Amino acid sequence: MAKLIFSTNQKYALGKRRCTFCTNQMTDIDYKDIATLKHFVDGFQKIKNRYYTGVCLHHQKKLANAIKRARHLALLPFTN
Amino acid sequence: MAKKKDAASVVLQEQNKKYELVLILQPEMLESAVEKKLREFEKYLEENGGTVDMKDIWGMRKLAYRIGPHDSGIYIVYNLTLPTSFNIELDEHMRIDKDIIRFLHISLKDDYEYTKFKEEKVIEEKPKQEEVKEEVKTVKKPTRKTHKAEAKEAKPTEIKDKGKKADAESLDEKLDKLLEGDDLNI
Repeated sequence: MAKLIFSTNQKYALGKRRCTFCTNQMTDIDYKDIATLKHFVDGFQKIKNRYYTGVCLHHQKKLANAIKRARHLALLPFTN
Repeated sequence: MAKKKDAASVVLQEQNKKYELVLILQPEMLESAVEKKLREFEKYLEENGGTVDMKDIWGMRKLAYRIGPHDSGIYIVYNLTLPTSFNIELDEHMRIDKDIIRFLHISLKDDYEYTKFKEEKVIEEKPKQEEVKEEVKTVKKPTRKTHKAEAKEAKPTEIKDKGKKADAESLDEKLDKLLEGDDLNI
């Protein structure tokens, strides 16, 4: 897979805000792919609000599900 | 009503679906014990009408948080096709098993493609190392130290070879002289 660029701080983005998953044409988000999930987690390991990340609602729901599954398998911590 | 329910249950029993299953085993288990455990587990699946499509062993891995007394675990991923009526039994079987610390059991779409853990790692890691090396080379100009170090590395090898050759030649000459001298003396 090509290297993906995650612009996770889109609060002050110029122009139109774009969902990173839509632009990269990722239909599903895998809970085993921790490298991508880490971009959407806070310093306290909380799920970032989509107001800051610019993810669309369709993908935000899938992302939250994936992060929760990764937490259950101890791939990601619950809190820090 | 009763007849309709029976008909529905019969249809459900015949259905097969794709599932993904992740197991975390105890870290204290040896490799032979893990193999034995998985063989038994696969046999149990096949007895109940399941088939193993894919199996991926991640190996030992650190946990993000403690699960009971354990700090690490052995991760194993399965892609299975199972009859729908077997799921509840399987969950209970895994819950009771003491070697399995934790598990995840999910249904999949029909067009799901699994990418193996090792392949992902290779793709991610290799280009990173090359890029870093290239950056270092471009940023750091060749300093005097490096030249000196190269010279130091290169010189002793040459000198040693020369010394060896010289020694061999001189020894031969000396031996010849001695032999001649000895003959004369005798």
